[in-house]
Amino acid sequence: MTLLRWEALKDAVECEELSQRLVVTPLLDFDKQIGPASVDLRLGTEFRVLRRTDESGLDPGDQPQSSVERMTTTVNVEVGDKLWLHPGQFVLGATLEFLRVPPHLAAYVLGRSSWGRVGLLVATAIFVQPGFSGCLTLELVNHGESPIALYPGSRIAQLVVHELACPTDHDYGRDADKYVGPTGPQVSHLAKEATEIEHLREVGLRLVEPLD
Amino acid sequence: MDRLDREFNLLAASAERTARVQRDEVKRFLDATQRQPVASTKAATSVAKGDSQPRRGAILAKHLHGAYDALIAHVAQRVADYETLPDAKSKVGALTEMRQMVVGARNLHRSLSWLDAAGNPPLDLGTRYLVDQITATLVVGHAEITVVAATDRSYATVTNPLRPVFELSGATLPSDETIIVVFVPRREQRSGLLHPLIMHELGHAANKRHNLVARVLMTESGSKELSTVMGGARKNAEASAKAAVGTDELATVAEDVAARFLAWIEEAICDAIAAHILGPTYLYSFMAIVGTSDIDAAGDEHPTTRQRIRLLLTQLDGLGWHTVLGDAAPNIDEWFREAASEAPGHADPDVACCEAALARLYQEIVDVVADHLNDLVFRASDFDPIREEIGGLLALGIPPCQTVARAPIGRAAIILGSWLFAVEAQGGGLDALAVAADVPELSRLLPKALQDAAMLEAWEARS
Repeated sequence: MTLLRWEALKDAVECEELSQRLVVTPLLDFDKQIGPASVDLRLGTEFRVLRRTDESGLDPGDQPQSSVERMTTTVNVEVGDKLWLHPGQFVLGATLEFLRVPPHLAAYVLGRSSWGRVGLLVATAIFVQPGFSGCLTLELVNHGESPIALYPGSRIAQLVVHELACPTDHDYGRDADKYVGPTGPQVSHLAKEATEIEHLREVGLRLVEPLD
Repeated sequence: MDRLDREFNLLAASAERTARVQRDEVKRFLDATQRQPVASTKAATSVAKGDSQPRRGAILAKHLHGAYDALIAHVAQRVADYETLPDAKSKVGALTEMRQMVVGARNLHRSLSWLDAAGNPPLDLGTRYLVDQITATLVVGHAEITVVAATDRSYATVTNPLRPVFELSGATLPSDETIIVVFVPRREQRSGLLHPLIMHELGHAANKRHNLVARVLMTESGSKELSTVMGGARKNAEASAKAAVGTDELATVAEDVAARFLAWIEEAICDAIAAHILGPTYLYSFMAIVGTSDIDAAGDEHPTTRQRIRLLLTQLDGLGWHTVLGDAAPNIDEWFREAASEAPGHADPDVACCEAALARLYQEIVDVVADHLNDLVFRASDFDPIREEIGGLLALGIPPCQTVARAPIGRAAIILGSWLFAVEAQGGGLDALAVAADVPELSRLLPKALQDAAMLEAWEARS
């Protein structure tokens, strides 16, 4: 895979052929956001904040998706306002930019060092698959010792884009269970993997059965 | 103390208490505003805006507090007055008034739900920015608008609704404060394609502030048509009466018909405002909701739907939309034009007279609206160059807020492009208008596109 530099990034976001374009929209400030080998991404206005519920915890093998949804509440913060993230706290945010990664590209989303240096972890699940479309959900954690003010619209992450050796025909959007086209942060879809966990349980039982 | 005195005291205590408990709730809202709370993960269930912008609903809360203060002061004054009443008859009168005040104070609690709406707005952020900015342009820059998802009414507006209560104790509202409350049906709060109807509602607020009906009537045609309508009403009354009609009676009939005509002018102004700002989008939204009623039924407040369609088409054609309308949604355009060309003929001569006068006056109405809105107009020539690009973005599930050349896409164009996308997705017939708002992708893409386009515009304006 080749890492795209400024010139290639510019070509990718300005590609006339929409299906081949690296869509990053809105791009508020092209000059500031397109770096030597990355695209700066801004923080969106919507957050999912964990709240106290009567759920005992998260168990993807034994919990419907609706109960995972209930464990968070949506908070909208208008442009110009801020959200305080206290030490040790975790909140889901999203990029302001809606991305569409064409089948010949893939990307990584990384925190910007300016935020990292105040203790903010921006993303943990950082790989962006070919064919992904939507706003990237950011797993924001304050690892510092002081509350951090998060301002929607501020440049919080960067996208590092790679070109695949050849385009894939099996892009991300083909799987309906995944996170397709989100325009804000999405809670975990782990509960949708309950079938696989059930399968693992059955495998576990077989592992202690006598051999045929 | 006789029975009347005791009953009066009961009512006065009830009125005072009813106002006081509501005022306490408003006070809590105001206290929270003054603490300048910020959104915080520590208070995830009671999130508020940050300290950099005024909190939504702050002026509304202030007016509500003032209204309850005025009500309580008025009750106290009436209690003091009661001591001086000379006889039982006056006391019965005071009792009746106090009973009405109890009912009034109780009914005022509906306004408390407006504060809930201000704190937890029913509309998405993109639509809120659009509504805020259009209100600032159309009505007044510092107006505070609250959109309420209502379960008991359709799209409606009130401007400074608390003024009468506020003024009970002789206080006056600060002249630089305007509050507007817009109601949208709760079932449609997430139907972005229908939100253009809010622009019509804002037209009423604009008329209240800027006397747009009066400006139409001040034109040469305006005064002439009003005279024609009133003269026609007198003649119709005389022609239909079996006996001679008195002068006073004729004047009353003429005033009633004139009131209807003025209400129709106001409706036509609001339609023209929405169409001027949003183009064909308004016609589509209008048809999806209003078009389901009898299109030839004339009301005291509203002209017939058929006439409104006819007038809107005339205006839109004047803004260059004829080709786009016919090309983008031909089945719908054909129906509109057929409906507009039919003349049903009204049995009520006053209705026919008002309808004819409104048609003759329409150009004046459009001119007054255009003058009031200045540059805020959406023409076909604004949409044509980006129509295909918007459609392409939507087809790939991308919010259409920015062109490939990185120019912001106008919000009127975004909504129209979304309408056309939805109409096509729903089959392209007239019935597509009724179900267009159900296209699932648009519930995500339209609000996001509106929000991002607003941010892009503001970003560029600041730069």
